[in-house]
Amino acid sequence: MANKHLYIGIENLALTNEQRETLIDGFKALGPHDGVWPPHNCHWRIRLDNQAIMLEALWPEEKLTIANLKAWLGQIFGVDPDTINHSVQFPTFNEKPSPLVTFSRAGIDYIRFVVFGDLNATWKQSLAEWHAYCTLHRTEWEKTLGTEEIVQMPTEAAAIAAGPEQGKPSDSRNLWKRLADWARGIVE
Amino acid sequence: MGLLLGTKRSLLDTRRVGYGTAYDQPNNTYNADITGCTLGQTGIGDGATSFYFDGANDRVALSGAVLTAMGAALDGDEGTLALWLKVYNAAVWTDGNAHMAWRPFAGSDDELVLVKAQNNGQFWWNREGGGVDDTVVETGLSPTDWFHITMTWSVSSGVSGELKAYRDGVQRGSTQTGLSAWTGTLTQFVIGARNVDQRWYGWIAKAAIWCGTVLGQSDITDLASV
Repeated sequence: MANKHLYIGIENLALTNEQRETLIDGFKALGPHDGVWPPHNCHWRIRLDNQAIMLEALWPEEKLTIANLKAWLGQIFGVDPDTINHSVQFPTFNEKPSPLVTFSRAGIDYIRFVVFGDLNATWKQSLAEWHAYCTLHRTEWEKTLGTEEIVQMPTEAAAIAAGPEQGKPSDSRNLWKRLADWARGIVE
Repeated sequence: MGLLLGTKRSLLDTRRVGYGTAYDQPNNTYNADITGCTLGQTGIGDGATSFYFDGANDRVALSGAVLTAMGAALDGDEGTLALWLKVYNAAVWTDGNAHMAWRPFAGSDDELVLVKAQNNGQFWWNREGGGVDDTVVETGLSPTDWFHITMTWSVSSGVSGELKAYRDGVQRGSTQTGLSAWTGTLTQFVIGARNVDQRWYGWIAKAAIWCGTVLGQSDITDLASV
């Protein structure tokens, strides 16, 4: 089977922290790491709450099938793969449906797994699905910032004119600082 | 220290980069870590190439001893950042996401930020020193071709310091004053992302930093010319 350059996502639903780290380390190792082309090497981004991760790599396609994922999950967690169940949905974030697979065992959902744009997507199609997904879930992935940041800030001239002291030029810096503090919200 | 990454040369420049590194030109000693970027992309038109950032999980960052060396070189009180930027498409300007071009970060009170803000059509030039924020905001932007960004900062200039923002070689907004001294130690030096989020979506070329040198108008005009 072919290698596919795609974006995938994994969300922890009920794993312990230790199990989650084992799983994520396993996924990180699935993709190549020493290639000469950086986009093909496995790299990732972690959701702000550390309970989900998206990874990009040139994946061996066969490793991303449900059967193989079950076998692999069974191996790393020491359980019989036949006891792992799954359900599949196909949400469309942009244009191409993405298989969203929930893996469960003994009635408990443990992991949600998605291939953005499905295995037949091109890299750009997969990226487009990721971007659309990320936009839908912006607050979970982007350290921001609340709805107020989306509000269009006024032009500088308008901001000065609206300043607390009749828009004296010397006031503009403080006004802009306040506006920046209010709107930017980039904090650690 | 003067231009850390080579006069008229830059961190993200034309030369073929080795795997996982971006050159410190001309020394090729202090290299950056490339994560995911697509190399060798069409550049600004001078024959050099650029890096493509996918807006998802790509970035260029310093780490380890290189980050430490940059921390020793970086002058948070006097300096210049300059780079060429291009967004993936017009929609990036209105996608509601922040896309950070460059962010040297030295703790919550000290950082330099060049970012397409979450606000539609806005680009922000920001320096925070000792907890005092100074920001220039330009609104109504929608360029889909290459544009050049420069930020200069100088605590010693003027009466109380000066922060200046330039786009395409022209100063934008007002000179910000009242700068406060840099107090932090560099812990992140990332091009194309805030750190883990706010990824740049498009191309970046010729990123350069001058540590301790505040470029003047003529130099900035030159930098912004192809």
